[in-house]
Amino acid sequence: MRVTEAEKGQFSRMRDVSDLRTQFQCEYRLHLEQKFGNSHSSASTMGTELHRLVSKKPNNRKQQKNDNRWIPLIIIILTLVAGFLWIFW
Amino acid sequence: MTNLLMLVAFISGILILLYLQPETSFVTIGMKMRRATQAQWSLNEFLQMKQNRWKVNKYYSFSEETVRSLGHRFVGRFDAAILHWANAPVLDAIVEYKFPVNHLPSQSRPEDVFQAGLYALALRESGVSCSSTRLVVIYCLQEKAKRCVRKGSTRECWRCGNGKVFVTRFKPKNVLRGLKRLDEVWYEGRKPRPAKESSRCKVCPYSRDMCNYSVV
Repeated sequence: MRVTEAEKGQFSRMRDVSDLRTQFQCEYRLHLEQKFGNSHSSASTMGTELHRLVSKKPNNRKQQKNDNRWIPLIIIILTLVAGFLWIFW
Repeated sequence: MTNLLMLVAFISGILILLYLQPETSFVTIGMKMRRATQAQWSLNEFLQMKQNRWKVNKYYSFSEETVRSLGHRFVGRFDAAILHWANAPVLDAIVEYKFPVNHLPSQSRPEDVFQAGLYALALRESGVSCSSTRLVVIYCLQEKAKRCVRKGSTRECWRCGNGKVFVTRFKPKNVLRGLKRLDEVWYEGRKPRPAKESSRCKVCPYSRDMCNYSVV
């Protein structure tokens, strides 16, 4: 997503990755964009909105991950027990 | 018989543990994305943290973080990145979402892979290891994505409909070559060249009336 001038702060003179992507697609398109301004279609506005929604931080995943934290330890113990029994049984 | 069962259990355990380890080749990029937990720190905080055992070999997902390359003078914000700590921070994937209106591409678009590559390049400059980095471009039609958003499964919207996921290995040389070509326009006074492929003009908002070189 495009970084605003305010967000760039002291790096305002740096190029935006979005511009480089546009230029990579067609150098002349970026030239026209710089000359006439960036035209935002309804599709691009919707795309930006979807980006924002998709990148929202989920709240329920952390709990789920915490529930799974003991699984590797249990597997290690069971593997060691199985290995021990296999050797010394 | 019991001995054989124990042997099978032992070998299965070893295989499962290998599967759970980030460093083994058993772990695909999809697994890493599913396993990653949303980081509770900003990317900068993560990179400056001292390594400790609680976060080693655990995948973290970062969303909407700004990265910059001082060497190549660009700044941008990636959609998502998956990182983990080994001996240094390791970038597993850069994820770029694209929401086309009508058609899903049959292969990843070069400009989208290039964009993801630029983010990886900036992170590499910050000291992140990118030796096994993959560039993941996810295309999902806007209508399908909107439906997913309504259902609340935004993180995996490409699964709701006919989304397409393309994974490419990050090759810094390719990105640098592309960047060098663009730098000629920015810093060496070369005039911008128009694209010659009609597929590129089709998606350009200037192709219908403003561009003299349009091929559509």
